[in-house]
Amino acid sequence: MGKKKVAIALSGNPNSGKSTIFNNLTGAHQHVGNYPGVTVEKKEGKLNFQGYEINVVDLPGTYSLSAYSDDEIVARDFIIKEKLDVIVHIVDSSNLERNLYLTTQLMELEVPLVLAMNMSDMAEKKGQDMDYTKLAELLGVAIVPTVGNKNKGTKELLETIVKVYKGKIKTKGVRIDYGPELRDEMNKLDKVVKRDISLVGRYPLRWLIVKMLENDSLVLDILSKSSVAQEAIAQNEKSRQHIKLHFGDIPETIIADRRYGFISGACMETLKLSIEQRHDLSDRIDKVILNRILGIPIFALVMYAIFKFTFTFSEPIVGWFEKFFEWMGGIAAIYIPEGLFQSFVVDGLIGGVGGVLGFFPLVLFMFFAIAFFEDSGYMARAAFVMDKLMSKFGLHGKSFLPMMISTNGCVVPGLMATRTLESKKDRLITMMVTPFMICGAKLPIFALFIGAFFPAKQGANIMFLMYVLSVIIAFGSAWILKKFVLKGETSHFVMELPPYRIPTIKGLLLKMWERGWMYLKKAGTIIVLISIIIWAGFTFPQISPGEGASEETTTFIQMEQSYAGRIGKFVEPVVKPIGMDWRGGVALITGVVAKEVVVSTFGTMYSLGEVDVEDAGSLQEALQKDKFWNPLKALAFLMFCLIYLPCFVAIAVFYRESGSQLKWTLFLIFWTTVMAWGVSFIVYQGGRLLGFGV
Amino acid sequence: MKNLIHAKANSHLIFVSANGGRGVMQRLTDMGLIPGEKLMVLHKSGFGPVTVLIKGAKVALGDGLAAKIIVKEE
Repeated sequence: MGKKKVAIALSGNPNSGKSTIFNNLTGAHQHVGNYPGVTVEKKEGKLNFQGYEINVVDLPGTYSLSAYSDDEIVARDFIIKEKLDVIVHIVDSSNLERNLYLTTQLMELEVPLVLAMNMSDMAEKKGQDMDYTKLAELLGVAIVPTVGNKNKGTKELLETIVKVYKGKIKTKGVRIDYGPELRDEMNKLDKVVKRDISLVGRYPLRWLIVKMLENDSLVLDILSKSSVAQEAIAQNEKSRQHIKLHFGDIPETIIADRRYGFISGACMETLKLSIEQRHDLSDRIDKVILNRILGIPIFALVMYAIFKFTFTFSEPIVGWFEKFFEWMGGIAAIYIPEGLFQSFVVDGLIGGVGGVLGFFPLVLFMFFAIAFFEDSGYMARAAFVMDKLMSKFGLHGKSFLPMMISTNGCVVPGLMATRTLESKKDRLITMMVTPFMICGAKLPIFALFIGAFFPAKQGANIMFLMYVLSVIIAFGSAWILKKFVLKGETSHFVMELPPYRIPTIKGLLLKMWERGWMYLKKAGTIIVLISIIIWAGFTFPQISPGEGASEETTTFIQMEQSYAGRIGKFVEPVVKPIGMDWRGGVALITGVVAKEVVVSTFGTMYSLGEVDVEDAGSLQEALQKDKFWNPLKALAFLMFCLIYLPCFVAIAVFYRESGSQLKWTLFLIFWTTVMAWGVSFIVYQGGRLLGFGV
Repeated sequence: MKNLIHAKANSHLIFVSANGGRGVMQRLTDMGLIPGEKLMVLHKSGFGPVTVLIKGAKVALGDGLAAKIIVKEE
């Protein structure tokens, strides 16, 4: 006999500790996907408990269930459409009244409801003494106190879920009394709506009616397609008008007022405050962090700390990875007989994969550091501190996080992180400029060229200049886009500042891994394949040189005559004005696949045909020896790499995240390429005029 | 009656109204800001963004939004 399946969903405010509870329930058995048709993340997990197989869906964190954001629409549609057995609503007990506002809306959806009173330890510290039994009775729900970050109450929560599922605990959601005036109007609407039987079967009737009065666009849409459309819409207009006249305020406000009234009534009966609320530690920290003068320097300091942490701790591990791949290449060269197959394994496979995986530790450390500041509550403050500056450039305070994740990290999770921006316009601008950041994959290009053509003393300065340039280009682009393309006001900044918390290691590791996995998935699949294609592009067709030709000439002719070489020759006229020859052209084209491939392409070009594998490691030296290059050409090339179009995967993600708008995707490609060429052109030709590198 | 950007830090106020679109009103409602609700200004930087305490939770409001919120003294 198969196990009985129970379908539950977690709902709750952002910052209520919902993801911690989700992690406690499901452990590592998680699956991240998307809700169909929208770019809202869907997390699912499974667990076994008392012979039941419990399927958990983590709904997006929302403050309410209106129709104003994709997150909210997704959450409520999911609750209505999926036949859920239980909804677990995670409540931040230390912030009870505001959190219960969502509860009142969940109650209207008429699904068995279990409240996890999370952070109950914090609430107790604040001096709250809660009568859970009484509150459960008043709300008609089941209640379990939990402390997510200490994994307390998880078992009790599961027991309660099973009991509710079995019907051992009755959760009959209480109906909020909206008062006689609204009740009358609701009755009138009820009579009309009831006549369409299909509506009654599909939606909780009372929810429909409340939402109609709230002028909810999606519910009005549903009704306009029903068999009672005309009458229902007319009655709704009449009812809304009547309420407006009676209260002198729109029904939305009156309904919200009644919900909050119901909540404060329930709290008054069940909650005893033994200590007067006073300034807590969070307030004192905020006085410093949000300070007008100190705010931005502190922000800069935190950013510096993140970079410092990332580079200091990942450096030895990146070194080990490099050594490992070098060793692998050496082993392969010893055991595989010289020839085409050896070249394939050493240069194509190990070289390609090594180039990408080598930077994985760095990306992971970066994501860990960012997750730490996110979970501790600082990132919300940083968004607030940065909002004023960012909004001058047409960005939003929340835009900095995606840019942050992309810097030394990866643009792909960076683009995903733009989902926190509510306004579509703000989000699109942020997505347009995020790819300008120096991602972990651009770093090796910079490291290679700066190392090869600039003295070690200047190296760090030039690298720093690159970071500054990337920010200037991103902000400048945002400003231009806002001014000329995506006009309109930047949306207003409203954001909850959660109390500071000490992050849990488990939570940090899971977050780090989730974002790192996006990077690895791209590395594992596409880049391996492309490395092989690039290798083949340079190796075929095989040219047999004439007798007596030196090894060097043979190599050169082979490269020039290969498929890749021919493509490079084809684009040479375009890249010539910016100081490149056909080899630069090939590297830039292959770099679209993934930026790190620029380096491995040069690696292939300079190592192919060389007998001694040991020598292949010093690509830097090979570049130095090549008479073609000079510092000015290197700089122009770096400029191009800094600005030109993001990698293939990022473009695909951009397309999806922009709501599959081809127009904007093409615009991104055009915009970045033209600008890259322009800047390189100015640097190269300007430099030549000034007499550098001639 | 005055604008929230003119309020002083540590002052106790009552929310009167906001002149914003429906989306903005909805966000404020979600945060617990309905007409008649008490709020306390926690922190303020010049003519700029403010942080307020609403129903025991800290909420940050950008300067553009603060300029649209009307409050009165408690």
